[in-house]
Amino acid sequence: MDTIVIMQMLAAILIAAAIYIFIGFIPGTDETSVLLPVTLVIVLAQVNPLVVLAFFISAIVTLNFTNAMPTALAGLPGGVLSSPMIENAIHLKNEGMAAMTIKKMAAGGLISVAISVPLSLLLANLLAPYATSITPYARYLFIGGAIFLSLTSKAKTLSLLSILPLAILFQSLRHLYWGIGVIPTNVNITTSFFLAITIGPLVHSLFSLLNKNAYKQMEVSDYKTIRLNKHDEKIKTLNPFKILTEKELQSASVSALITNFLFVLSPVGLIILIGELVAKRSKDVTESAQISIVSKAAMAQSTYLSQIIIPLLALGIPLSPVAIGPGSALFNAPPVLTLENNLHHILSSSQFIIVVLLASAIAAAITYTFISRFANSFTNFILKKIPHEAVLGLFVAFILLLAYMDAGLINIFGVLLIALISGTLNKLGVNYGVQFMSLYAAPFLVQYLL
Amino acid sequence: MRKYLKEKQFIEIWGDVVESRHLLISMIITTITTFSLFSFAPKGDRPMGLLLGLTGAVIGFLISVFLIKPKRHLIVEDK
Repeated sequence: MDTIVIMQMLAAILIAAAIYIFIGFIPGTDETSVLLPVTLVIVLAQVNPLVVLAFFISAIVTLNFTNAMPTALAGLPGGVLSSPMIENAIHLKNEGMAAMTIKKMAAGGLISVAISVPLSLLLANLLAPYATSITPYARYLFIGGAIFLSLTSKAKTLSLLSILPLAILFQSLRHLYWGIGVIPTNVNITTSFFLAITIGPLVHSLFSLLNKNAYKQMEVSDYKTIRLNKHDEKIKTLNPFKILTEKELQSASVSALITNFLFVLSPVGLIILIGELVAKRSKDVTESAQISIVSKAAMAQSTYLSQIIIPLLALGIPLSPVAIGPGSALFNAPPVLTLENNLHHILSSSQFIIVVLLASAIAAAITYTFISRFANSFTNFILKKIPHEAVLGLFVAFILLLAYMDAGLINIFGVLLIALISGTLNKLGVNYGVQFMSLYAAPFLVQYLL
Repeated sequence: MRKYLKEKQFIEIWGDVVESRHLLISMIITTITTFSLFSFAPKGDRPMGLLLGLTGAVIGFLISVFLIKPKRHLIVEDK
């Protein structure tokens, strides 16, 4: 690594932190939709892979810290991972403890970063020798993953039943595009299909607006009332060990530790599952909510970090929900990166470890300090200035752009088709994990049906 | 549809309140700015197209932020 690359990496870390501090504070900004397009731009611009990795790690650490802020302060989910935290957050806010909650969540996140980065690097190194024996079975792992995620979800039968129809949907669009010649037969569209799945629930809601009865159900009479607690100056310390009680510290650390080993499972699923388990450690409603929300904030970091670090360093195939979704551009962004030649193959282990350590440490330090000082005033600013309409408009424009770039005008409607179907399935209980896995397994699944 | 566009109608979507007319305006503005900038990219230059498109999307977002007021009542409580 020469000086110029190191300077570029530092710049990438700082830029990512700045961008995602801002985005994280905006309620309702879905992680995949805000991470994937930007990462894709950087990869396709042929930026040095070390710099790309530094950017991405800094982005996810920052985003997972800041997404907790609108959640704790306003009761609005910052991103997908914050939705399981809403109930705890609203309870604590009503108790007038919002300012305390954000500090605790940030402290839990910080401890989780400190545990997850070294642990997932270690796990990746332990797993790496088996990579050559695992990779040929990747297709079965994706199929197995779809089945496993279905069985662990709430809508088991429905999820299982939707795997094959979804696979047929993806493959039929690909074959249609190849058949009419909008894309060459050696190109497999994935990016816009991913985003179509991600944005499915939003598209479903937007289409519901065009149905009179559904519209009536979504109608409300007035603005949303949001109560913010006045800034609490009492907690001045930045030391996470002083901010957290012993129970919170234990629960957060253990949650972070366990989720590293379960890196193939959906982050939201893990957060809900383990978050509810640790909540049982206290009979007191408020204490239980605090333990739960701190552990959930810790797991937001640990799931994202382990799910990108382990598959990328050890395997080079996207074998986790984060690697398949928000991080997919690091594995597969043709023509620059492919499944046979991506960051896993380009970077050496030592380069990888240095970049991950550097990026996560700097991003965590910056964001943690920022949150501890400015979380209140910044949330206030965002809620006053940024209308929800603008955020939704931005998402719609993103998806239209990526759809058009992948396969032209016809793909805008193709993506719309996927979004409507996966949005409907999503509302019925088929989670993102099952749908993403089906997308990856689609080419193989369809072959078995012949 | 026409009726919705005439009078103020608030709807709750994705956990927050929007006004349907404003939502439509924001989507139209952002889509136009996104594809206008995208059209300046040389044909076949994917990274440039994506970069210009995303820049356009951010510009559209900022215009929407400037034009549309958030539908939130903020109450700061002293507890």
